[in-house]
Parts: sequence; structure tokens; C-alpha cells
Amino acid sequence: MRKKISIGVLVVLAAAGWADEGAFEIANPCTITNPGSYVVTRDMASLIGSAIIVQANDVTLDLKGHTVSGGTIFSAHDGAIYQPSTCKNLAVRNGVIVGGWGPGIQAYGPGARVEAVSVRGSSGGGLLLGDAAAVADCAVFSNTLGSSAAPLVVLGAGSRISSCAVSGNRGTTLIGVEAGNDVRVNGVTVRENRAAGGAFTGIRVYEGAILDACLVVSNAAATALYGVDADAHASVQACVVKGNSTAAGSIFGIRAAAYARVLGCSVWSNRSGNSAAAGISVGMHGRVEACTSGGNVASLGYGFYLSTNVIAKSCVATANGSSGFLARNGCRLRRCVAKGNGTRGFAVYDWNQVEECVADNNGTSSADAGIEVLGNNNRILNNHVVDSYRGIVVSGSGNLVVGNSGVNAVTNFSIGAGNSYGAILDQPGLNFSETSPWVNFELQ
Amino acid sequence: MVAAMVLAGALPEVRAWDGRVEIDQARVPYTITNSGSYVVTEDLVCTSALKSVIEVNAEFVTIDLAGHVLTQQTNWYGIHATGRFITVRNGTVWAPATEADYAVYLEGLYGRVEGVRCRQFKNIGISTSSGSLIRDCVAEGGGGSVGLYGIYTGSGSLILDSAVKGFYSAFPLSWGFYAGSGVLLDGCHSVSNGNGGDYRAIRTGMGALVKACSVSETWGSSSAIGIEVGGGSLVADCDVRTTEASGTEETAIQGGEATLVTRCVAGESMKGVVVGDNSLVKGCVVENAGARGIHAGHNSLVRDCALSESAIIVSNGSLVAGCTVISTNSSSPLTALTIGAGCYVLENHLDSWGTGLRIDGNHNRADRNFITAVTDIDARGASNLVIRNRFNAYGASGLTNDFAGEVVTGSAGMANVRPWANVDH
Repeated sequence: MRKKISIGVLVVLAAAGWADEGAFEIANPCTITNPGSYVVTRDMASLIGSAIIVQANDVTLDLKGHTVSGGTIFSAHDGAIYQPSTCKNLAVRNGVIVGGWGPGIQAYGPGARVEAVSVRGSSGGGLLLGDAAAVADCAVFSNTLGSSAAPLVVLGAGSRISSCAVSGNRGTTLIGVEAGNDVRVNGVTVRENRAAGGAFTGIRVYEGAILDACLVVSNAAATALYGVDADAHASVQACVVKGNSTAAGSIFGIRAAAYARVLGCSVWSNRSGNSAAAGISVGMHGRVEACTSGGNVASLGYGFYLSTNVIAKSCVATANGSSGFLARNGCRLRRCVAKGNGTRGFAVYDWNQVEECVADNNGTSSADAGIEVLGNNNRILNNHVVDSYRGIVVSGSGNLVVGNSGVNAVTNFSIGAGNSYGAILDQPGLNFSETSPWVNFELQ
Repeated sequence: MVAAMVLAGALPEVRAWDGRVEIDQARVPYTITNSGSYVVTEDLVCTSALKSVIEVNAEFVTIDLAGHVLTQQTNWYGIHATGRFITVRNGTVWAPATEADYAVYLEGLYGRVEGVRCRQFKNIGISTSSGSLIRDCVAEGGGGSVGLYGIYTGSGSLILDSAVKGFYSAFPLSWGFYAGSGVLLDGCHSVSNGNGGDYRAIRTGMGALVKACSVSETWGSSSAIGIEVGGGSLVADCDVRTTEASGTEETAIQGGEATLVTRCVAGESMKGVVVGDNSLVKGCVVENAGARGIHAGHNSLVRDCALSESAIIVSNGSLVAGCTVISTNSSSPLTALTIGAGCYVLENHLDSWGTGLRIDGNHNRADRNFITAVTDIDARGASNLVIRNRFNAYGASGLTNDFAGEVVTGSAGMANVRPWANVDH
């Protein structure tokens, strides 16, 4: 069992720097048992277990640019800096942490604050924090996690993380940032991490989270990969997910669960090692707007995968392996563009509405289509379909197809029995005076 | 244990009360060979040729300038490090003779520069490698500084709340902010910078995110671009104004393929927002940017933008919806919207003393637009569908091999049911 080393002498300081009068100096691995401010005065390393154990509330620890290293031999305590979950309000700033066997900082009690800290060389993760934590200007890099460890940064409910980088880490399975309910993630980059034996998730957040201005770029996984994985009621905005790849698993650029919003995001050039990929996947009652998704390569690669009752507006899907947009049930797609996708621009199942969209040059064979209705009771309104082998294809029943224009397809409109559609007006000429408000147009 | 070795001279190491190794003038030029934490205790001046004020030959080093000024009077660096994990914070680095090469030059990965102001360096203010963090820094020209880069960083870095200003560069190609791919720039500012050739105020590689940045007073003798991003990038909430070039290339915001530009303001340049294929431009305001207020490539989406004295051009397969384009210049009239082939333009307001909608290609659809122009529609292709638009004193040319709803005039014309008619009133 590791022998704890306590502070032998506490030095009361004259006022200097960030640590005000009354701050205690720490020069060796130790255990802190009283609240207050502490200043690390030199690099320190523990052979076994934690370098600094904080068994008190309301402790502020200024590393003053020094390096604190945890032990490389297993012990009962994790973390180069460790606070048990029964304590709270640990603040750590300004230094370098080498985790060793354990994580860099482990403080599962509430209210931890970590600022301007770099964590490297840890087998147990980077920053493992509890609820209401605040993390800013940190970097977690060049850690190689053990086979059972996965998250590099963990935050509990109600936490905030901003302006942090998680890069160059390795492990069997990895999660860049995993954060609980109602967290705020802003300005976080997750880059060039590699899960050599399993799955990788760039940023994983739970219900009610807000992600803003995050990048998940050039990561790799052996099996599945999720760039951003957000639970119900989350908001994902202004994020970039690009250039990630899996060796043999499916890939999701952004996966958002029920009632989530995905706004102004770019998901590009993510490559799946198997047949499944989705640039942006949105769960029921979600919303996706002003996003682009393209170059997500897989035979079942979708630009946008929309579950039930999802609203998709002003999105662009380009050069995805299969469909630009796939909508299951009750979705509304409005003013979107699908171009050059492998099989279909838009594919819909039941009770969806596709209106005022452009489908251009999707698919390459007679089985492909600009817009394909695979189910029932959909409304296909005022769309413009260009240069596909088949323009609008409806194989279900109870569907309504009106006001669309098709051009330059072998078959611009192929509508099965049991559907309602406006008459196909073939090249109506100049100054036409058609009285039916429901017609579809065939321009060539 | 850290035992800093002072190579310049045999002065013994001195440590502050907090264990940081002190750097004072007597030890300049100062070389760090051990990892650890260092603090500058007074202003430093280097007069030794080919020597940095502070040279770092170690990794995991933190240097606190503690608010002091480092002056480089020779032709070398202010602070230079080749290793990784170097942090420099809180001070000023400058070169009064502008012979010094770089102010802060961190060659290794994962550098961090915070609260540093640099002035008048010859080539580069702050340079870091990939995976770095630059925050609250200012790179400033003046005194004849030539300025290749104001702030430079590699891929996957963050540049936050920093500024580049007052550079007039002698280099034919120079940049205010130069960043690699996958970077985040947030809250950055470029003011009054330029050069005698081609200047880029903010430049990133692919897959970058540029957010809440402002660029003003940018110029180049040949070309000038306010914000230039690689493909797959996102530019949001940025403001770019007054981009000037004596040549023909003045662009406020330029992006490669699959660029998103949202909620930006671009003004006073020859071109406003120029993006490649498969891009998205939404909610932007463009002023005084001429014929290429927004210029998007194939299969782009331009939506809900407001342009004044600027026009929109899109290539094939694009969607333009909900935009307002107003041009009141009768002496140099603009074409409000120009489209290629296979486009869909709907519910736009196009108001011009020139042409409202110019159709260059075939198979387009113009639906429910409000067009008031001398020439409402100039059609140069064929098989285009023109329906349900509203005009004011309708005038069109070239609509011959197209499909257009009849044009009805006023209430009388609307008395009969003509759901696809265009209305002129």
C-alpha cells in the first residue's frame, strides 16, 4: 500500500503573483487536508499513485508552470492530482500534468475548475471531473490509454468546457470529451486521435447539452466512429466534422437524438470501413438547418439521416455514397439541395413532405432517382429535379405529387397507382395558361 | 528537480519564492536547457548578433514574461524554441530596428502563447506549430516592419481573441493570420494591414472554423482577401469591410468547396462572399460589393441574404431563395441575380436598374420571385420554367425556347384563374 506523504511544513507567503498572502507552498508529493490556496514551487513526481491528494473542500492549486507527475505503478488512488468524490470545489491552474498510471486530474466531486493545464502521458485519461465543473484553455494530448479506459475528458452534469484541445491520443477505445446533462461545450477541438482496437467518439454529450464551435477532425477508429454524439434536447451548432475514418466500422459525423437541433454544421469526407455512414443523423422531433454533409463514403452512406418528425431546412448533401437525404417518417424537408449522391437525392418513407428542393444528378443507374418515395402518404411539392436517370419515382400509395419540375431524365416522373398527382405538363411553351394549380412540369 | 543551467555566463541560478527560475538582464541572451517554469524579472534587451533574447532547448517549459518587455536589437528571434509543449505568456516582445526575424517562434507541437504583444518584427510576430493555443495576443507592425505573417500556426490550433494590426508588408504575399487545417479562430481582429502584392488578412486550411472575427482596412497592390478558408470550413458571425486592391481581386470572404458562410457582413470590396461548389451562404449582408456580392459554385445554396449595390451569381444546380438584392446605381447597373443551369430561384426580391434575373443556362426554375428591373429577365438558355413571379412593368429578353406562365396585368388579368401566371402590376 502506498505510503501517503503529508505536508511537513506549510510556509505562509508574502504576497506574490497569483497566490495571495496565505498561500501554502508545495514542493513534494503530499496530501492536502485543509481548504485554502496552494502553490507548487517545483516539478514533482510520485513513484506510486497520486502526486497530490486533496482531501478537503475549496482548495485552489496553482502549479505555476511546473510539472506534476503521477506514479507509473498502480495504486489505489488515481490521478496525478486526485480529490475524492466526497470533496468539492477543487481549482487547478497553470501547469503540466503527467498522469502516469492514472488520469491527469481526477476530481469527481462537484465544482472543480481547471484552467490552462496540459495533460499528457496518462494511461487513465486526462481530466476526470464531476458535476458543475469548469474547464478552460486546457490541452489533453499524447496520452495512451489502457485497454479499459476510454474517455480523455469527463465532465459531470452542468459543466462547461471551452477552448480546449484533445489531440494525438491513443487507446483501444476512446472518447475525446464525454460530458453529462446540460453541459456547455464551446471551442473544443478533437483531432488526430486513434482508437486502435475499438470505437472512437469525438464529443459525447447527454441531454440538454449545447455544443458550439467545435471541431472533430482526422480521427481514426478500428470499429465505429462518432464525430459528435448528442443526446436528447441537445443543441449542436457551428461544428465541423471532417476527415475521420474507420477501418471496419460505421461512421456518423453528427448523431443527434430526439428533440435535438443541429444548426450550421459541416460534415465532410468521413470514410467508413464498412457499408454504413451518415453525415448527420437526427432523431425524432429534431431539427437540422443550414448544414452541409458530403463525401461521406460508404455504400450506405447518407448525407442526412432523419428519423421521425424531423425538420430539415436549407441543407446541402453532396457526393454521399447512397442517398443525400433519407427521411423515415413525418419529416419535413424544405429548400435543400442534393447533388451527385450515389443512388438518390432524396429518399422518403412515410408521411414526409419534401418541398422546394433541388435534386441534381443523383444516382447512376436505372434504379436510382432524384427523389424516390418508398412509402406512403408523403407530399412532394414544388421541387426541381434535374439530370438524374429517373426524376421523381413514387412506389408507395396515398402520396401527393404536385407542382414539381423535372428535366433531362430518362423518366422524369414515375408514379405508381394509388397516388394523387397533378397532370404532367410536357414542355408547356411560352405564355402558357394552364388552369390547374396542381400540375407537374416536364421540361425536357 | 529542475536545475536550470545558464549557458550564457556562469551566473548561478536564482529561483523565485514559487520555485520558478528567474531570468534577468545579466543572463541575456538566455538559453533554457531544462524543462520547468521560468519567470522574467525585468525588461530584457538583446544586443548579441544571431542570438535570441530567450532560446529554449528543452520541452515542457513555461515562460512568464510577467508584464515585461523583451527587446531584440539584432537580427534573430525574441523567443525561440524547437521543442514541444512550450508556453509563453504575459509580456511584450519587440524589435525597434525591425531587423529581428520572429518575435515568438515555437517550432514544436502544442505550444501556447497567451497575453503576448509583439511589435515591429521583420517576418513573423508569433509562430507556433500544430495543436497550439494562441490567446489574447497582438501582433503589431509599424516602424517599417515588413511582416510575412502576423500570427502563424499549424493545423488543429486555436487562435482566440487576438489581433493583427498596422502591418504594411514588403513581401509580395503575406498574411495577417495564417493557420493550417482544422483550426478554430474565434474573436480575432485584423485592422489596417496590407502589402505591395497579395494580402490575406485571415487564412486557414481546410475544415476550419472562423467565428466572430472582424477584418477591416485590408489592402494589397495586386489582390486582397479579408477571410480565406479552405474547403469544408465554416465562417460564422464575421464582419469584413473595406478590402481594397489596386488589381482586380478584392474579396471580403473566400472559401473553397463546401464552405458554410452564415450571418456574416461583407462590404466595400469588389467581391463580397465567394465560395466553391456545394457551399451554403445564409443570412449574410453584403454591401457595395458589385457584381459578385455573393458568388457561389455549383450546387450551392444561397438563402436569406440581403445585398445592396451587390449582386448574386451562382453556378449550376444551385438554390437561391429568400434573398433581397437591391441596386440603385443607374449609371453602372448591376444584374441582380445570375444563374447557370438547373438552378431553382424562388421568393427572392430582385431590384435593379439593370437586369433582375439573368439566366445563362438551361433547365432552371424561377418561381415566385418579385423582380423590378429595367430588364426583368434576360434568358440566354432554353427550357427554363418561369412561373408565378411578380413584376413591375414587365420586360424580358431571350425568353423564346422556354416555358413561362402567361403574364397577366393588374386585377383584370388576375380575374381568371391562372395559377401559374406571372403577374405584372
